[in-house]
Amino acid sequence: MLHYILKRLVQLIPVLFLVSFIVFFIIHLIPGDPVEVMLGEERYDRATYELLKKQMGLDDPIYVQYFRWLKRTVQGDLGYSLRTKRPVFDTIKERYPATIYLAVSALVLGTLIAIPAGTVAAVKQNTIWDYLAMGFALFGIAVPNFWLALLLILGLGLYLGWFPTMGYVDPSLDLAAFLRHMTLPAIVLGTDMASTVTRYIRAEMLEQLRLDYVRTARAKGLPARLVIYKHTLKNSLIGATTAIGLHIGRLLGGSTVVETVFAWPGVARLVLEAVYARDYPVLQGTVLLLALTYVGVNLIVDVLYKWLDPRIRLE
Amino acid sequence: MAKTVARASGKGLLRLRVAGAGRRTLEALGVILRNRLATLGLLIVLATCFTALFAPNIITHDPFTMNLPDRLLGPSSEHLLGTDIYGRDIFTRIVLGTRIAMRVALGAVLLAVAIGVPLGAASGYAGGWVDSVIMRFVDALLAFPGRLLAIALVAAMGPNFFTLYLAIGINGIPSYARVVRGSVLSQKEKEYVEAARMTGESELRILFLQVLPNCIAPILVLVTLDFAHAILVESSLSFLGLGFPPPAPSWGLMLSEARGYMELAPHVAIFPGLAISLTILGFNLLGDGLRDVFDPRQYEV
Repeated sequence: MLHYILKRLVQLIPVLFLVSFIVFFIIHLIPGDPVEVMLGEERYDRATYELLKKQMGLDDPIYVQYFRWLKRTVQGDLGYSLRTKRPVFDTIKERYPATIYLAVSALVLGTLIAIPAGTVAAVKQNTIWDYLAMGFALFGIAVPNFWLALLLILGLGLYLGWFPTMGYVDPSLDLAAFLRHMTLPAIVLGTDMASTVTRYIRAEMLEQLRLDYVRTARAKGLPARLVIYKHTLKNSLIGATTAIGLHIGRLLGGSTVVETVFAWPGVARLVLEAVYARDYPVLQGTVLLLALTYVGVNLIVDVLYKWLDPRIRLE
Repeated sequence: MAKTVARASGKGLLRLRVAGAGRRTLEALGVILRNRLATLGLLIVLATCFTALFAPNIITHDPFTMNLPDRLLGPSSEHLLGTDIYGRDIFTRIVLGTRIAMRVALGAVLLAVAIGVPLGAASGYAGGWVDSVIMRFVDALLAFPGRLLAIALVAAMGPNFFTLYLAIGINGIPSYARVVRGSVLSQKEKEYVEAARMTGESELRILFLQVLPNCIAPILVLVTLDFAHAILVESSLSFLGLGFPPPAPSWGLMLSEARGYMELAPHVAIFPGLAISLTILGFNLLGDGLRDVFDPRQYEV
């Protein structure tokens, strides 16, 4: 196990390098001049412009800039926002909790829907329950998040007035208001996750129910309920770990669409704001950090998967 | 060839099921229903392709002329799906939006296939260090969060067809490479490959003319599902304002423009969303159906 983890960590090095490379160079393709962004609307003369450009190191060749950036990044220094002049790291740290709260609630909601729905669909295959669960899954897959968000805002927000349609309240200030604001975005992301995971769990359950151990367990007189919940479901969940894990990775990166529609101040919207504002350092730092989170979560899920199911030899 | 065999055995199994009683009949119902859904998917996909191809002949109004006195009108015989905030005909704009969505999806899928399939084929067929190098590259690509990459690419290179093909297509490369690699691995041990080798065919010819045609089924399933994904990403990007700029009749953009007026005129936020969902649903149903047909193992009990 330790050997496996070490091996995966070593394999991570080229991935991280590639990630940093992609992030740096894509961002430098963006048209627009960061020096002008920094100077803003103020009038400035040529000399100020050149001086600032030199100070920021933007007149060096691009590979020099890349290695300088990489060196600083490895030391934990992501630079300063061109717009707010604040450290990028602090900005991200400030925005991350909102994304994490939403990710966790979507994960809980998604799992709470997917596990019963997928199990019932498989156990009662080809009954109305199965079709209902599969219909829900298809709905979740076909309806894009941003449209579901608009529909929920329209229905539950504007017409019924049950939930606020946008905005964020810090949980330490007013927990109830925080939860009310989070409901609609959490439903959107939870549905998105539940739709794919339900199908996974159903497929895994169907696979498991066919296996010999189920027949043996039933033959020796174990009640069906016990067979299903104690044995089959447990094994199916192991199979579904990858699907759930993939979603955790995605959720922790934040959903740009959902955070935009609901004006949720998370990291995904930070990326978009940085794109619009041509704020290179913020964009670079955030994309890099999100990519690292994604890679890290996927690694943890793989390790967990192997730990849960020792039959899998991933080497 | 592989297609007909799979379909034939699928039908045989179906007949067996219908012959059974009780639970088995219900199961057969499920299979038929699934096939019905696949048929529905095929119909939706065909209708979408038709709309995209003949869009200029279908539209009823000019998609760009603003007519403010007629803004936010509900559906009527004059405007089938009503008008938007600028008084433009929503039906016309949705029809033209089909064209944008399908063109972007087609480009993105072709790009992913054109890069992913040869990579996977080379990886599976050559094995050894070629396999290791290619798979490491594919893993690295897979490790990068796709949506983020698409946003970064579009932001960097500006919204045009090529950027969208690249931004959306690049995400698909790993899945094609992996699936084709797996298929090639299982195919290359078969006797027909040995036979072809004995007749003196070059390895490259064997790979492209003998082995790859036998890997078409999983590629076809992926292509269908990928279309749905590409349409989803295109509409998300244009919803975020990163796709084609206004007044392009892109579905995502139409929804984004509708956001402020939903309470006043819900139809502006409903019809474009329906178009997106229906299209995605169609490709998904077809993809699922194809997978069922190509993989009759699923019906075994």
